[in-house]
This record gives sequence, C-alpha cells and structure tokens, in this order.
Amino acid sequence: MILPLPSQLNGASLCRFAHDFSVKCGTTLPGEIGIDFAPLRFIDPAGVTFLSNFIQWLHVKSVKCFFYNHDKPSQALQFLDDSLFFQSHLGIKNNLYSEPRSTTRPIQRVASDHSHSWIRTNLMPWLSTSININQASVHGFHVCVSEIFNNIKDHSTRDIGSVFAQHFPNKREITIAIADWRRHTCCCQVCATSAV
Amino acid sequence: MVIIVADIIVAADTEEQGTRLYASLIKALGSHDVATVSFAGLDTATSSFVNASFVPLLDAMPFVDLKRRLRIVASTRQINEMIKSRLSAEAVRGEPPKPFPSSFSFYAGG
Repeated sequence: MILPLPSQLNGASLCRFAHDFSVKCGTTLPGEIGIDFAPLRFIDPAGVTFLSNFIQWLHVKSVKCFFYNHDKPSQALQFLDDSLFFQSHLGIKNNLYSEPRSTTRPIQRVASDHSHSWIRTNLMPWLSTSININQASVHGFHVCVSEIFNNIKDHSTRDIGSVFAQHFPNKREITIAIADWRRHTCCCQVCATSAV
Repeated sequence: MVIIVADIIVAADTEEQGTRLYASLIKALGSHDVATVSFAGLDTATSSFVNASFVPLLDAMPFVDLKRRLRIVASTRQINEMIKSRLSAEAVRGEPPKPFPSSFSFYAGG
C-alpha cells in the first residue's frame, strides 16, 4: 500500500489522513506500507509528532514501512530533515549538514521516566531563551507539560511519547506537540503564546 | 521537625515521588505537633505529586488541623498554589457543606 502524504500535514489534516488510512486498511493492516513524501508542502508541529508516532506504531504492528520521495528538494522535507525526523527513523539525515533550527526542539521520543528531566534540562531552558524570560516565569507552563507526560504514563498503552516544539517569533507563539499511544495512535497539542 | 524535600526526592514531578514524601510527612506528623516542609532546591510540583504526598494527609486529620500543623517553606509560588489548590479542593469535597476555608497560610523563605 502506498500512502501519499497530504500537501499540508497539520492538526486538521492529520485526522483525515488517519481516517483515510483506516478506511483503506479495513480490518487488516497490510504487510508493507510506503509513505510518499512527494506531495508534502507544509508540516506543523502536530503533523511532525503524529507522523513520527504513526511510523513507530506501524513498526510495533510489524508493518514494514518504506519512505518514497523523502530526499527530494523541498522546504517541507528540509524542515523535517532539520528536525532530525529522518535521522530518527532512517538512522541518517538526507543532508549531512542539516541541523536543528534554533526555533525548534527536534523530534524526540521521550519515555515517561525520562520526560521530566528532559522538560527541565532541555525544553524549559530553550523555551525561556526563545521568548526571553527567566525560567521562574515558565514554572506554571513547565508543570502543564509535566502533567501531560504523567497522563501519558497513566493512560497510554505504551510508556513513551513523541514531542516536537517550535517557536514562531513572527506570531509570538510557541507550539509544543506531544503525541502518545491509546488504542490507536493519538496526538494532542499544547499551544502557548509567548509574553514577549 | 523540618523535612527537606530535596533530601528525600530529586523532584516533585510524579506520583511515586509524592508517595515517598507522604511516608515522611505522616511519620513526622505522628510524632510532632508541627512539621516544616522545605522545598529548597525544587521549582515545581505537579498535581500527581501533591495528590500522592499532601492530599492523603486529609484522611488522617481535618484540613483545619493540617493547616496549623504543616508549614511550607522555601517554596516557589507555583508549588504553594498547587498544594493550596489541591488541598482546598479535596477538603471541600470530603467535608459536609459549610463555609469555604478563608485562608491557608504559607511561610515563605527558609
């Protein structure tokens, strides 16, 4: 089965993508799935975490997953490469010189046991630096993100989630997308507007 | 009796960490009239942590007694507000209808 990605993979379209995939599969998952990246023109943080979790879910379900057209020149694919998406799933970046952008925290699989230290030592320092406020000012938001990972531990079928964060300086907004596992794959998104 | 939270747990993030602090709190309150709990070195506390550490104390004593016997010191505003809001909500839930507790004192600084 070949699954072409939509041109825009975001919070709205990923639901349609998941629904269409479910309809295509019916009651039985195929043995192999090829994900075609050619149509992709834009992907937001929710799309990044959803796609990453979806691919991990396919692996858990013993479905072989292949990527097609993921190394073509395109801004969306460069963004994914800079977000370490391909390194995370293929073990290698498309471009040797791709590096995480200062406006993002690259895609990360975070086990619940390590989530709190990751939030404290990685996410929050980046967040406070991005929006130029001291860390004490983001304590409340820190706890909100911690609560989500506690929720993942309490309710998910697997004790691990994917997280990706992006700062949009022109919109004065930080988006943190966290995806966890329920009966199927599931994604929730947290948005915070910076007080810059 | 002073309980240094950071001597018992590395952070106030999880239910498990809350359960460990609860064991120290209930032991301290069993042998001392007043227990001082210092959060020095910790910045945040989640609801899961407070639900497992402070809220079960309401099974051992009424909220009004707990407010008198427990002093929270060297804590951040976030930690104070989390403990206060969780205890207040659970105290109201567990008691028959009556006027809402008007105050809950926290002692800032060491």
